[in-house]
Amino acid sequence: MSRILMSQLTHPQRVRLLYKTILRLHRGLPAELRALGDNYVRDEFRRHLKCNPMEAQLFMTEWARYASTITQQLGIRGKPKGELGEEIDPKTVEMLKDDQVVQLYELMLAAKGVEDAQGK
Amino acid sequence: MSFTQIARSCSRLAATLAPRRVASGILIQSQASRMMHRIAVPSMTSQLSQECRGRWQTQLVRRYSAKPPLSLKLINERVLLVLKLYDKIDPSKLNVESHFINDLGLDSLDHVEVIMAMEDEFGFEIPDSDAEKLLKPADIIKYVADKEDVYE
Repeated sequence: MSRILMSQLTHPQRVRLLYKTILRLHRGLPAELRALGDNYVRDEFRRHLKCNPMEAQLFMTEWARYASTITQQLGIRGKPKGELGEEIDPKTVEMLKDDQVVQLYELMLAAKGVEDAQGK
Repeated sequence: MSFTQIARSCSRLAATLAPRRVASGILIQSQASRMMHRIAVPSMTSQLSQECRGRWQTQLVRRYSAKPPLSLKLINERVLLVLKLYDKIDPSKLNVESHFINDLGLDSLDHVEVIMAMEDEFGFEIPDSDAEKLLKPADIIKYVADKEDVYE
């Protein structure tokens, strides 16, 4: 049933539905994570407004997978019941560019509250 | 006389007038609702048992602790306030008949966020099929008024 309904929607309608679903799911997150997530989702969806159909399909698939993951982790009552998020796949890290790896490493240090070795 | 006291008096009066209909929640509710329109309600000593009275009062008190009543003017003010607080809307261009996309320059994702802000403000969900038709503040005001049975 939901497949038939989804196939009847136009692409802009599907995008708006996914966007709305993700923002709704973020309501169940802790306040800090919600703010971070909301801003990131907004930026990403706007950045991809003009992309080509191939990229759009990939974009939609990945964000739908994200929505599914968050749904499972939040549970029915919408309250976190354990760890949020998941470990990054090592294969994914290999696909990153060098500056992206550096950025991710700095993010990890900032998240753990560790001082940088160079004292920056 | 506070609202809760009026509600309690009405519940006692209704229970006394129709003791055999205690099990029928709908009938009792309609009677209590009718009595709410009276200006003054005399308080009467209840002949019900303590247990029954407690149950009655608990139910009715919970039922009457609803959100504050709405009027068209109040809905109008709340809708426009939410829109003014949205950072992508220019307050000087905003009025009840501004079109979100043509006049205020929002895109479809902004429109989704505006609809979600209205959901948060008024406390009910707006389905996607309805949301696509709400393209002006006037449309939202009319939609909320219809939803809450407000006509004046």
